[in-house]
Amino acid sequence: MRHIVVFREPSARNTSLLSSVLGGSELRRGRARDGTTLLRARQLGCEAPRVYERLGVAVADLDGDQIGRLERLDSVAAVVPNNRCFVPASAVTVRATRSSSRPDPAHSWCLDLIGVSPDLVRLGRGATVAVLDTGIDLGHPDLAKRLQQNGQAVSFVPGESVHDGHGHGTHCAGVVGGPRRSRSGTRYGVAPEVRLLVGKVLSDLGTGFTDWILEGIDWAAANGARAISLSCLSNRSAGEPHSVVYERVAESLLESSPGTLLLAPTGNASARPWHTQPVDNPAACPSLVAVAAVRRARQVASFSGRQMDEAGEVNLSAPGVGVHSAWTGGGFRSLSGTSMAVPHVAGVAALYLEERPSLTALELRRALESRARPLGDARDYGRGLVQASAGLAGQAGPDR
Amino acid sequence: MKVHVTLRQEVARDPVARQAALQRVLSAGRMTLGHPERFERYGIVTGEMDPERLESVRAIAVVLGAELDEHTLSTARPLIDNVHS
Repeated sequence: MRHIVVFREPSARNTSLLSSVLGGSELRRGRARDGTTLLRARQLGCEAPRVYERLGVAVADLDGDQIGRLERLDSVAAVVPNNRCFVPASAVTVRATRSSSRPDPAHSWCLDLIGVSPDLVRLGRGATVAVLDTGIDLGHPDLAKRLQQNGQAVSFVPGESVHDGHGHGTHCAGVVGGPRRSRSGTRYGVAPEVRLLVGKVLSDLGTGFTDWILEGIDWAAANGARAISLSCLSNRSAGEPHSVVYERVAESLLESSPGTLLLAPTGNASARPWHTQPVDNPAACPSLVAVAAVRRARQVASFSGRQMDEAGEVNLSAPGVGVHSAWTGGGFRSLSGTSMAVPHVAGVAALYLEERPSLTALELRRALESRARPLGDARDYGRGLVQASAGLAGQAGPDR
Repeated sequence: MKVHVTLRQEVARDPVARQAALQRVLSAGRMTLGHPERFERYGIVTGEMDPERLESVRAIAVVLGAELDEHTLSTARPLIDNVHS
């Protein structure tokens, strides 16, 4: 496995040191560029070890014995796995858009995965769902008109209008309620006729205060939102308690009648297969639904948070890798993240509420979880992949 | 610094106990209530407080927790997954 060797200090001796540990047969092959030395690969198909002399770092395929020998050397500070590195949204999106493949250009694969077929009659009519995020592109050709006709948008960020200067909120709102016929040619909205409430609780920089978010939650609940897509997080270490503030608000809304269900992402800090990170706040709160991200192959996304302690349970999974949706500026992008999984569940909640408007928040949560398609380890997937097509027949309640 | 103080649920649900708890929190924290509706609805006391007084507020028996309104919440950053399928 590829590892990073961190030397205590940059030195020309680091190359010969690594070479000797690798068996002595590796000969210096030459300088790849100034300050970098390549060693001969041990076998065909293996990447050549590389020493970054100025940085005091080397990259090499190492076995357990070699790792042990290096770690015992005084001049070596650490040997760590070569973790996959992720880049932030602004850099990712362009590449992701270029590389995204859509076998059915009229219908996003994400919708197929959760059972939203092109002929599904449920579109979220009569249901109200809120997206609390960075706002929305008020001029977006897919979203602007229908927001005016059947929706509401308010900013809780001081000094900023509800217009989305970031893009994340527009993307999430699109996943919940994008139109049946998108200007992009691909349907990506789970519930095209849902009543959409958009609360801007994160600034154009993508960050926000608890205070703004609590205001947004309260506004959404007061305006009839039955589910709230809250794609934001604060990092939490394993063993750290969940937020009592978010738990109180989520619990109150869950227990009220008819109630409001809060949905949040498990977090993006894992780097499978090397390491996993626990579910972040506020998703770690037991009264919120924590949503993990899966790939098209129905496998957990490498970055998706995992249940690693008592506090942070994973509840559901939804598509979260290469998700096509609207983007600020009137365009479209494919993004990856547990943020993208959350609005898929919120959209499915709208479909359930169309079928059975009298569902309480608690019943809605149970319905989403009991109808999910099991995928594997509950610590990764929760109850499984959220499913829209599974009807509510047999569910207790007066209206169907 | 802005702080969110969450009262214990049984106290938050009882209007009389809730008001009594509020006075204790405001007094211990030397703060004023920022969002009355939030307090009434959820039993959360939001207000500006000297961080040095945080521990004395947390020590009140009816207080479940007190959290700073930190600028730590950010969007779950969209990331690329190398294994696109």
